[in-house]
Amino acid sequence: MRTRKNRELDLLRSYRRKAKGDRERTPLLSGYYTPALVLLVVGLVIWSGLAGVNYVMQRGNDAIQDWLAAPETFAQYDEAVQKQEQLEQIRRQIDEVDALERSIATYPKVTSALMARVRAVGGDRISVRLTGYDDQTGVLAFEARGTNVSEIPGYVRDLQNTGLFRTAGYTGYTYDEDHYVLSLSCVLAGHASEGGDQP
Amino acid sequence: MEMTAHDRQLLRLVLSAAAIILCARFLILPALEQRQELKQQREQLEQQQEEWQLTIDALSHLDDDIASARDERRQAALPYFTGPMETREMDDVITAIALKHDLFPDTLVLTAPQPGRESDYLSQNGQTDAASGDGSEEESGLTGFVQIGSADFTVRGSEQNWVDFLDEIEEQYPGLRVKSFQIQEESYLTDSADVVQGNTIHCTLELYECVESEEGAA
Repeated sequence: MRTRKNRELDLLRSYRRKAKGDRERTPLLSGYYTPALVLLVVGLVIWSGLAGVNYVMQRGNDAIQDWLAAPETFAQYDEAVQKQEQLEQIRRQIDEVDALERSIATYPKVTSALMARVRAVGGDRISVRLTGYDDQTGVLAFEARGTNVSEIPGYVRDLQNTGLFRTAGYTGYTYDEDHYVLSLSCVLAGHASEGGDQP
Repeated sequence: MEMTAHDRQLLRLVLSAAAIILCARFLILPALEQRQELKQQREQLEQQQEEWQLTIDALSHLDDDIASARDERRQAALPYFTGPMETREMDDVITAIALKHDLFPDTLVLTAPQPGRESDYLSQNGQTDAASGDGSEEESGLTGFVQIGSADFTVRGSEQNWVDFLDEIEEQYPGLRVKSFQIQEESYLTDSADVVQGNTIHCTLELYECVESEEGAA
């Protein structure tokens, strides 16, 4: 029984000696620098992967840069840009003409039609003589001549009611050769919308 | 001196940490930074490429667009005079209309057309809230296509003839606009030394012309 136990103990010692010998023979796997080496290798692998991705990306960027710098690309782009500028310029010119048309349309039209409407207010009793117009102020100036002084206030009111004028400026009358002469300065109403008729 | 197990353990930890720091600092982080830069560069390049490609693709229809726009511009400019007009041509137009209506031309002062913008009557006279001002802030945006000339002139004639003159300008000449006039009754001495009463009319008129330029042709 004793002999058998001693034999077992010897086997354990023998196993430990063997295991220790194995460790001494393979220091690379069990050395204190092994984890550091493993980490370095892992770092290098990650770096290699990233470097590969970067290389591919750089190649892609170079390809785009080459396309942009190619003479035929640049020539086409330059031609297109110049034509677009040309088109924009023409469109601005059209806008300028449209703006001119719109502005002109807002001005009152001093014509025989307008004067006929002014004359119609006084009828046969009051004659009208045109004396001036200024588009800066919108003032249409004219003299009205009538024989009956009592008709004058009504005549001025009728002028206002035509809708032709924004204001009908009347400062009084003078008597001259059997006629009362009224000097009127009336501000013409403009056109609110383009192409509209005179009010 | 022999290293103990504890020393080995400590050294293992220090070396591992050093390996991690070295890898991160000198390999991985620079690579990531480079990747980020390349990514940004790629985005910019792709954006520029897309923009250029769109511009180049538009070439196929730009010529048609330009031709169509020119046609539209020609139509828009039709009512106005085609410039550049010389002052003698302005004289031809204005004097001819005056003579046609038996108005005797006395004086004429012409100003050659210049790029300009017509102001709006309603805002000019305070009839709307939208004040256009004198447009000075927009003058720099003028293309020079629309040009405005002016004529100050004096004619003699009857009021009816003058109104006929105004009618013809209004109906036949969209490129002319009477800005202002004053009619004064005056006495004239005729060739036969007779004194006659008549009207002297001082008028300021604007002329609108459209001047086609090369508009930066390619």
